[in-house]
Amino acid sequence: MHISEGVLRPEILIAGAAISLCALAYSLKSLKNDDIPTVSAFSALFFLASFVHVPIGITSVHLILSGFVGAFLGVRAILAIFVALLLQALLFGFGGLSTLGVNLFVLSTPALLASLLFRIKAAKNWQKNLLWFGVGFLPISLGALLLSFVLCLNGDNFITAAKIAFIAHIPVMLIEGIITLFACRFLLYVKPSLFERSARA
Amino acid sequence: MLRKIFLCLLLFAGVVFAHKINLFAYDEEGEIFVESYFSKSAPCQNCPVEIKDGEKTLKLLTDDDGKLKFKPQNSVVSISVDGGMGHFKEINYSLKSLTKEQVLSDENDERAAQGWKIALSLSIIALIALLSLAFKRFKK
Repeated sequence: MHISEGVLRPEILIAGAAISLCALAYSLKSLKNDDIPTVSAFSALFFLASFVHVPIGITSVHLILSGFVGAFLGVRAILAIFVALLLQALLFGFGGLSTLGVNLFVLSTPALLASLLFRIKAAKNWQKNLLWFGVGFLPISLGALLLSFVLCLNGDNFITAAKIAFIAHIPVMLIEGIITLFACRFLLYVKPSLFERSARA
Repeated sequence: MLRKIFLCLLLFAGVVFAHKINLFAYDEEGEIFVESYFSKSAPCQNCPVEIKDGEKTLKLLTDDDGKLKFKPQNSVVSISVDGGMGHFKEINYSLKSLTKEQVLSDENDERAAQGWKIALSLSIIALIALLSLAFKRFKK
C-alpha cells in the first residue's frame, strides 16, 4: 500500500503532508508516558508486517495490520505508523520521503476507523469474532479505497492502476480479517489489560 | 508482556521476507539467465520483463519460478522487471560479468544485509521509545 516516489503530483503530496503533519502533531500531543512502550511495540509490529509475504496464485501480497494497530492504539496509531513508514522509506526504499505524508494518510486513517470499531460492545462470542474480523477487514478496505482515490486524483492515466490496486488488496482484506480475529482472541487471553487501555485511547 | 512481544518480534525479524522485488542475472555459454523474486518462497511469476539489447527491445515473461533466459546480441543489456503495484527493478548487465555462483553469493549477501537492516530498524524504534521516555521524565 506504499506509493512510490515520483508517482504523485506535487499538490497531492503537499496536501497529504499537511494533513498528516496535523494528525501527527495531535497524536504526539495525546501521547502519555505509559503509552510509549505499547506504541513502540505496535510500531515494530507494523514495520515487520510489510515484510511478511503471503503467496496468492501467481502473485504475493504482504500484510499491513493497520486495523490491528489502530484498534489498540487509537489516535496514537498515527505516531506508530509514522515511525515505521519513515524507517521503511529510509532503510528499504518502500514508498519514499516525499510520499510519506500521503502514505501516512492512506494507512493511518483506516487505523482510526479500526479504533472506533473496536469500541463497539459485543456481548456474544460470535459477535466479538465478527467484530474483530471487521477490525482487520474494514480498515484494509478503506485503505485500498483511499489509495485508489489518491491515484484517481493524480490523473486519468492512473484510473486503471487505481482499480488494480483495489482488486489486489481484496485477498489482503480477508487475510488481515482472519489474522486480526485470532490475534485479538490471543491478546484477550494473555493480556486483557490491553483491551481496557484501547477503550481509553 | 511487552518485553516478550519485542523478543518475539526480534526473533521473527530473522525469518521475514523482503517486500521489494529482487532481480539477478548471470550468463553461461552466451545466454543470460534472469531470476526475479519477492522472497525465496515467492518468485515473481509471469512478470513482464523488458530487455533493452542495443537498439532492440524484447518483452518477455518470467516462468512459474520467476526465471527466464535469452541470447543477447550485445555484450551490455538493460533488464527490467515489473512485479506490479510499484514493484519495479532495473539492472544493467554486462556479458561474462557474473557466474551463477557469484549471483548466489550476492543473493546471500543481500539477504544478510536485509536482516541487519531489519534489526537496526527495530533497535531504532526501541531507541526512540527510550529517548521519548527520558525526555518526558526530564520535562516533569
